Amino acid sequence: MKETKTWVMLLPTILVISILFIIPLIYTVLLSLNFFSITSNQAISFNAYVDILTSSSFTDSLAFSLTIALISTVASILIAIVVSMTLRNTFIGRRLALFVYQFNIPVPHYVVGISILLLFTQTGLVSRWFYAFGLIASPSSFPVIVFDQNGIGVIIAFVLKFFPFIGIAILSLLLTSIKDYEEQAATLGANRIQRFIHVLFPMMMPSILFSSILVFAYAFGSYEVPFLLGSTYPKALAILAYQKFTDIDLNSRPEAMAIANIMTIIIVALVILAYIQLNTMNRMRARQNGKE
Amino acid sequence: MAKNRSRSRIPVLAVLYIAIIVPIIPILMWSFSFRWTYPNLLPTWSPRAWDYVFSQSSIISAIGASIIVSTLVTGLTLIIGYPAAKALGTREFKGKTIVEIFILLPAIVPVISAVMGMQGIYLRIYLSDSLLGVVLAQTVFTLPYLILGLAAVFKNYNMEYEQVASTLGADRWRVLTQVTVPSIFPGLVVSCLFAFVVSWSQYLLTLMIGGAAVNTLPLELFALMTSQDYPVACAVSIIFILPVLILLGLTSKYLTTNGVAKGGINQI
Amino acid sequence: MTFLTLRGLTKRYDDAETPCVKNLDLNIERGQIVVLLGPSGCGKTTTLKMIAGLTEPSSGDILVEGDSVVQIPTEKRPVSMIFQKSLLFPHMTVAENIGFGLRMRGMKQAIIKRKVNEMLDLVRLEGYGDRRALQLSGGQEQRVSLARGLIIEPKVLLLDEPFSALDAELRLEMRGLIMDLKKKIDVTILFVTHDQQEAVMLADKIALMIDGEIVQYDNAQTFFTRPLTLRVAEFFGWTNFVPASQKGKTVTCSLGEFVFDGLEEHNGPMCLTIRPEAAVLCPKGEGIRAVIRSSVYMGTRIDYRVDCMDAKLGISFDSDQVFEIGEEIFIKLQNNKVWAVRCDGKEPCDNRIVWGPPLNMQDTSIEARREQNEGEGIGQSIGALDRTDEHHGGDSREKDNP
Repeated sequence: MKETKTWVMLLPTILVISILFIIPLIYTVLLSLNFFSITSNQAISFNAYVDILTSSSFTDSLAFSLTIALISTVASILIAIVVSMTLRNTFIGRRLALFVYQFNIPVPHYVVGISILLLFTQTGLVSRWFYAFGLIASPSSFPVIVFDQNGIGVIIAFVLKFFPFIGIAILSLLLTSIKDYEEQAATLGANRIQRFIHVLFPMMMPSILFSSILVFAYAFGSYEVPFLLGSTYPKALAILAYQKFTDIDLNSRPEAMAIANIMTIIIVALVILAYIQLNTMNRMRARQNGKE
Repeated sequence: MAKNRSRSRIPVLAVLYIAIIVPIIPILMWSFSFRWTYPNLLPTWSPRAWDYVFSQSSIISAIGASIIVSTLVTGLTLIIGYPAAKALGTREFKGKTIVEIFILLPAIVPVISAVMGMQGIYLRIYLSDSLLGVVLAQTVFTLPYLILGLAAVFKNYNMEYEQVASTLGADRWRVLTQVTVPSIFPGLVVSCLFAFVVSWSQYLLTLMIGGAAVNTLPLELFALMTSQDYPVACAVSIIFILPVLILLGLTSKYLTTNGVAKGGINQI
Repeated sequence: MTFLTLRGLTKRYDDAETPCVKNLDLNIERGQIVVLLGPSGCGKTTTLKMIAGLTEPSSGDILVEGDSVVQIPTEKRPVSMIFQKSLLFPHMTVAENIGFGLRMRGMKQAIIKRKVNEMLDLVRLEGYGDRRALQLSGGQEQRVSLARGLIIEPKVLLLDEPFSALDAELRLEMRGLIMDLKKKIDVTILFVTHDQQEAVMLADKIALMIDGEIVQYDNAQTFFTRPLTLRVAEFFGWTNFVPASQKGKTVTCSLGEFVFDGLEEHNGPMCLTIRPEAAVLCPKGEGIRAVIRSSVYMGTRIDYRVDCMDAKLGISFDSDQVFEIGEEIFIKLQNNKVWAVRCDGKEPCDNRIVWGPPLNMQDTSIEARREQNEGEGIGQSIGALDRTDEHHGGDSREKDNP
């Protein structure tokens, strides 16, 4: 059997992504630079970027989206570590716990969002429970969790969705050879905390980093969840871009494109940085696996 | 080390169960409610929402459209992505990292960033406002999940089985169907499931590429949420996550414990 | 008082029918190397893990210098363990790996550095400290692992088949290193292996473990001269087994009557076992009559399969003694190369020939060899040729090996 050439195997994927995804991204850049404009005689204009970068609605949105993405990612990692460390031991009811842990993974983000909405608005289910127990006197004294400026509702929805995703990656690692390393560390005199800090956590890092990239990128660029749960100001970047894109004033379209491109640049830069880090770690891991 | 530490387990499990199960409660209750005024703890029960869902032709056709789109997307993703996954999982070559990042791009670049340009380009190549356009657009976004998941599976796969089979006289098709697919089956199923789920929950992409022509379930759901018809929206939500959970249940033996490691979900 | 004591140590896993370690008693003196030898899955590793505190015993006690350590968590026990895989932490350098245990004890950086350098010298890896753990060869990795286990100055060092992943030459080198280290460091070693040769080379005493029980605990010499049971004899190069019965000190079988000094008195079925070199030729009419059935030329000697009274035997002569198939010879058995062993109860003793000692104690290899010897003719013996060639009997082995 003749071996198929590597590039032939990669070609369909690369073609599809190039034509249906990369070309549109380039097209977006050109549109943001007013490339196809009929009204202006200028070939290239950075006006859209200048307008965007100097408007406080954009910078506020940028800060909002970055903060939300960062907080949800970090919180999800922490919860994922704790839950996975618990679920790796065998105990009665572990199968059920594992099923529950994975339950959210295939549920769409916005369905979790809808649930958060129904739970945490001022007239939501939790508010009713508080009222029934006499903790609050009226719905307006229930804290603003959804549609709030700090995006707490959005963060809760993201964390509920993300922590099992990161957690399953960690758990699958914990159930493999990492246990042997932990036992080795114990016989060398490392206590529980030391074993976690010096052995488990560094060895989990590649897995955590990889799933965190995906999670962070999603939280940063999500449209649906802030649409359901976000405040009117500051808006998440995706909402801002979409509104500018669908604005009846066609002149705001280049601004929408500019926002889109800035989001792309931020995420791609972040991923490349993380990938460089991941690659050095992975090379170490791959060599280790090769020897086993 | 050998000692069990059940004391710290109980609060962690409690948090896990609350975090996953409590969000299901309002959706279930609202879907069976007629009206639910503050501060009542229970709604006025009514099957109205469910009657509506099963009588409204737009919702039923949306379910059909979603199934058709996601099945086509999963199949197309598998056909396009399979060889790439195999190459990435079993071979070392120059520029592999760059290829990996390239393939990962659709999974990390926000949909909103790509979809505006996509709408323009698809319009020019007559793909917008069509089922084909939606399927192709979604395929782009499901490819990274399938390829990276399947590549992780192929990393643990011994290519020599294929070589043995071919020396025993199996042709390419037989090698694929009788050797390769059976030995990577769990990972293949999990990767396809992921592609299906990613496609199944696409909202913005379908909205902007499909326009008025393709009405999938997420579009229906967002319309209901915008009109604040919570009972029906919740009923649709349940219908919406049901097939996904059934699929998860069917494949859960591949997902849990060791299956997770082998299934490659950790790499997705 | 013994240094490390196992007392009635038992481990039964929840889902297992029988315990995988049964009521184990073992006394180890200070400074000794004791090898726990046994086939895969006999409970050796579980025993080590219980001593290390990685597995909780179902019952029984573990004492170090007379004090029970069962309640002490792994990290506080005065033992360290070396695993089959080197398990060097991939995110640390060689020096960081070796110094790990001392860092965990909060020792000063300068002292750690000095001690790490001493250990590097000791395992002959001077100048490797700054390398990444993953830039080492298999043998180097295991040496780092050894240094990492020894630097914390454990009272007992546990080694779980540490060299089984290495190739033959490296294994020899590593055994040499262990014996060298043993001279320089005051440490008591419990070494687990399934490799009989490794056990004989390293051990002050060998504890032979089968199915979770220690069958015989003696110095290496005794296993070659006075094995207790049939299976032990098989593992240590005894070739022929003939059903027999014992009354007092006398063992009777179809080959005649034998009286052994030092054989435990016993009445009932036994098994007579004979080394292949036990047979010497007699003038015609004397001794016992044997008929040559097949022969294999082995270079310095020839292995014959003979029918002797009711029994089939495998015997060896120097290669200048050439006999034809079907030829009739008369032989005598030297008493010091014949011995009587118990039949292990469940295994009924039948007449069998097991050529050559097994290289290791994997159950499959010994089964395979038995099967090979069921048939007659030349072909079946060829399979055993390389093994038999490599070590022929226990006595010659000790001379052969460096």
